[in-house]
Amino acid sequence: MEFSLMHAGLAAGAALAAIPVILHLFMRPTPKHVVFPALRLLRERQKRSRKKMRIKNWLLLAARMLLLALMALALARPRIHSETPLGDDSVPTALGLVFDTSLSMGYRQNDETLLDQAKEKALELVDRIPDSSLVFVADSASPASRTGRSPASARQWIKELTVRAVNRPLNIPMGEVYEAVVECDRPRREVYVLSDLAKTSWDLGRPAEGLDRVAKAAETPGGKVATVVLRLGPPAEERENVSIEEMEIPSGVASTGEPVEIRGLVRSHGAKPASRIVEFYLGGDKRGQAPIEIAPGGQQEVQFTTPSRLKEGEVHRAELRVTGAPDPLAFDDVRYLSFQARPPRKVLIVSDLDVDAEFVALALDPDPTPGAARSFQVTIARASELASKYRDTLKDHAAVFLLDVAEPGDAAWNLLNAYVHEGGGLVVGAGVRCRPEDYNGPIPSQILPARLGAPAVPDPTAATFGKVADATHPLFDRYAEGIDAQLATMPVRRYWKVEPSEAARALMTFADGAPALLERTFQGPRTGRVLMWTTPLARRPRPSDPAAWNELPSLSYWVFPVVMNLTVPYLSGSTGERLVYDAGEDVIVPLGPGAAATDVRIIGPDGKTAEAATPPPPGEPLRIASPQFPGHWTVVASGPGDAKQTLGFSLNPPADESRFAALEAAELDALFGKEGYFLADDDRTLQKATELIRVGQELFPWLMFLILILVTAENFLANTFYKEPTGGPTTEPGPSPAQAAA
Amino acid sequence: MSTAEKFLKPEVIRQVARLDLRAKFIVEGFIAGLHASPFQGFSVEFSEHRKYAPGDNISDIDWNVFAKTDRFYTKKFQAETNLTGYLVMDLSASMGYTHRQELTKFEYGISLAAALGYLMIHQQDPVGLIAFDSKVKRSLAPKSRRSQLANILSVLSQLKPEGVADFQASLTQVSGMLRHRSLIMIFSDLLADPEPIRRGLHRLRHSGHDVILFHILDEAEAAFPFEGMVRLEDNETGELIEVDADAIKADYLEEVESFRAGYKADCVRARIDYVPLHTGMPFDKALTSYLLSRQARG
Repeated sequence: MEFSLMHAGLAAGAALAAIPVILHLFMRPTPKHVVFPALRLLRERQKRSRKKMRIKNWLLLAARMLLLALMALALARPRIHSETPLGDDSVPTALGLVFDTSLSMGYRQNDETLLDQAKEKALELVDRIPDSSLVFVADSASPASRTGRSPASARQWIKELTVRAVNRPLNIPMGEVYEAVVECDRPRREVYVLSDLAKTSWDLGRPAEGLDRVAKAAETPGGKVATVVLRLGPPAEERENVSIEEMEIPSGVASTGEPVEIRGLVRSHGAKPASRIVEFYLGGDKRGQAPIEIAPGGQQEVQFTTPSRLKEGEVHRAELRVTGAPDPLAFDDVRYLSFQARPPRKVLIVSDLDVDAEFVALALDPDPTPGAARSFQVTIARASELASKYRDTLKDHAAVFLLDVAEPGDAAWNLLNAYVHEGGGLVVGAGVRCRPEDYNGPIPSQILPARLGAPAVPDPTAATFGKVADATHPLFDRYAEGIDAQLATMPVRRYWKVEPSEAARALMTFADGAPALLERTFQGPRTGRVLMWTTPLARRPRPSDPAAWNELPSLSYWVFPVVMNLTVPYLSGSTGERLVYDAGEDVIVPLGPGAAATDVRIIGPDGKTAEAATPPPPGEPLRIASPQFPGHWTVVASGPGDAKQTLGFSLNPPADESRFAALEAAELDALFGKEGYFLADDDRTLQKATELIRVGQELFPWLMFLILILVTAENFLANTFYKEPTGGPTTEPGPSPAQAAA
Repeated sequence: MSTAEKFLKPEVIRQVARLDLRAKFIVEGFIAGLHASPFQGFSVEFSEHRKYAPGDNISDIDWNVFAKTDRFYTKKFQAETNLTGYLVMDLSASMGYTHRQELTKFEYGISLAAALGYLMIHQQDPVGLIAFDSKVKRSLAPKSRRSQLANILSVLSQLKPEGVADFQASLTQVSGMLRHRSLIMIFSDLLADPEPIRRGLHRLRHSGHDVILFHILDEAEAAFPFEGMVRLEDNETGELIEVDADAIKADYLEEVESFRAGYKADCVRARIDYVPLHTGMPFDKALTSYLLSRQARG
């Protein structure tokens, strides 16, 4: 804590405290000479009284001296917490301005965004400093220059600020500005943070950078740096916002020739119910709309379907837009999706009996009508045909299902081994027919996740499926909780006890804890995967049938078709081909087989800004480092010759920005230190904080209060000391207390 | 108030220059104010012998009595039917003090003594005079003749309070001078060490005398009317003290009260009549004290 005086010269008036002493010493009246024979009476008494009088007089004298000194001090306007020697605006200042340019700063309040408000406040601050000041500006989006700007230059910089989709935690620009301000030689040093204090704008795991430099600078005289956090925008509970949080193709694939279902999730973040219209755009054209009503804090799904004849191989651009009412936060009112339409994926189901294949086939291709739109083209074959008929074409299949095949044989295993190692996907459903000696052979052991032991009958008290072991696995992440609920009711009569290999992991268990589904992956140019169910993917109508091991494929449960439909894209690796990214993520665009492109141009969402990129080596994807602007991006790869490839991807703003959560006081304390900042919410508190920094906490009112008490005490003392004796013989009136005090 | 009574006031009697007239006026004024005559039965026989007290003349010891009783008694040479009074004046310089420049303590005392002398002579009581400071300076043997009053007044008018009083020595000397049991009326401000004064008074009482102590202070000494810073000087010792009169006034008055109370208590114990006075007080109080004392004795 520092103590200083606004008008230091006036403090010299404290010397007036000497007046009572001077008066006492020099202005003392000459005592009247009186002959008084009764001096004897007076002598002893006077000795005692003089002692008392001396003490009384000193008390009175001290009170009067203190009174004068305090009056002079009050006029000098003392203050504490002052950072600078003078409180006026003429002091050259090292002014640090840190702007939060995150998307949440685009929130509109009173017809202007929070960033606009921040800019206004910042311009006011800049206007109040002299031209000899230096301004150090930084935003959360881009690294700051450590060179100070003149106030005029800073004004220009501030005016050009815009909300950005990709931002660094504000901890970082704080450090940049602190460092520059600490090194600046201007006598007054202030750093202002202008932010809505959304949690997403800060890295709460660590304090603001540069605080150590600030602390070190504070040890030197005049080196203190004051920090003011200016909170912008309404509190969280007063905010209204409807956002599109998700937009996806639930099946994960868009197959050529069939309509693509697109799902969106709209959430209301306010305290009021929201009534909106969600519009669906495909290729820039509006293809549908749906009115929605969302409860406060609730969410609602919307679904749209594309036309069935989407061009194969082309990147299709879809958007969902929320309209129907003004929304204060615009960036999350639209969401982008890019997808490619592919031909139906080929799936080969190998089984000894048709009944063992039909459940999977029906789940993958429920409408066998020729010419109907379908995601998967399913073929059922026998194990004996595998090696002979599909040796060359097996690699064209997205997945192979080996369902309760008794003895696939070495030829088949060899083929499947090669297929898996080249990135293929194999699903094994082990049932009553499987012969462990064949499945545990050396070749299958190279690819299967487990060795078969013996069929096991689960304890009747735990004769159901158990739960998903890894809820984040692509097979289950979307419906993990629902799947678990169904698994718990799904009867299991028998399963294979297995001995998992070291490379395998269990994805699902039975109720008794035994593995129900295991996975083994094989790294290569394409990742090969083997999923092994320890119970068959087929059922029998009669539970007494020896092959009736479980009820997983029963129509009573939706888990089976969902998991089967997710299995094929997962095994084929298409779930890893991303065309939708969050802004700021590194984007990988596969340029496809063929000769290397000679020219690659990346076109931004506005369709105008095009940037040339270095073509990647042949076979390598194009890597684009953290593109920032949300929307549909286009990549055009040209050459050699006339060859031209148009690709694309979509960028969406981070959904976290929509879910506004304000920093708690304790979190602010952790960021800046408990005493390390002033928090301002509006003009009044900002002015107060600025005054506290520049002028300090004025002690004037307290001093005046003290003076009042002192005046009272002085009067009381004077009246007590010079009180007239009551009832004593007096011949003349004594002096009044006021005269005596003078 | 009758014309005579007004002379009981010090400020009035001050204007009377002649001491004999002062005495006359005071007494007449006093008598005029009384409803019943106090002048009856004053003459009292008293014993032929009294116990010897240290300081008595050894030659006065009645050896015959000693032979019979084995105790010392002093004998009296003449029987007295009237009360012998002594007016004992303190001649210390402090007695010459007056703050208002009107009536000094000494003048007040003289006026009072003159009035009492006047009164006693008229009663046919013998009255003597003793004036002392460090020792007895002047004395007149007690007589009851009319001319005695003139003598007393003459001596009184010549006395000047200039010395430093030594009460113990002087009162012891006085005690030695008196052969018969007497009424001793002391006029003093008692501004000296109290202990020797007390011893002197006790000495008189032990010698069998009746004592009336007229304690006369100046009006200023009794009321302390000063203001502001004052430098006070003791005119006997020359000592100076500088005080804030306003601040110390209450304390001083307390001290005066305590001073008087101390003597009063002492006098009560020694059966001495103590009459506190100051120069602003009417004379009748003093005279009343005298008469009451006489009545008590009668």
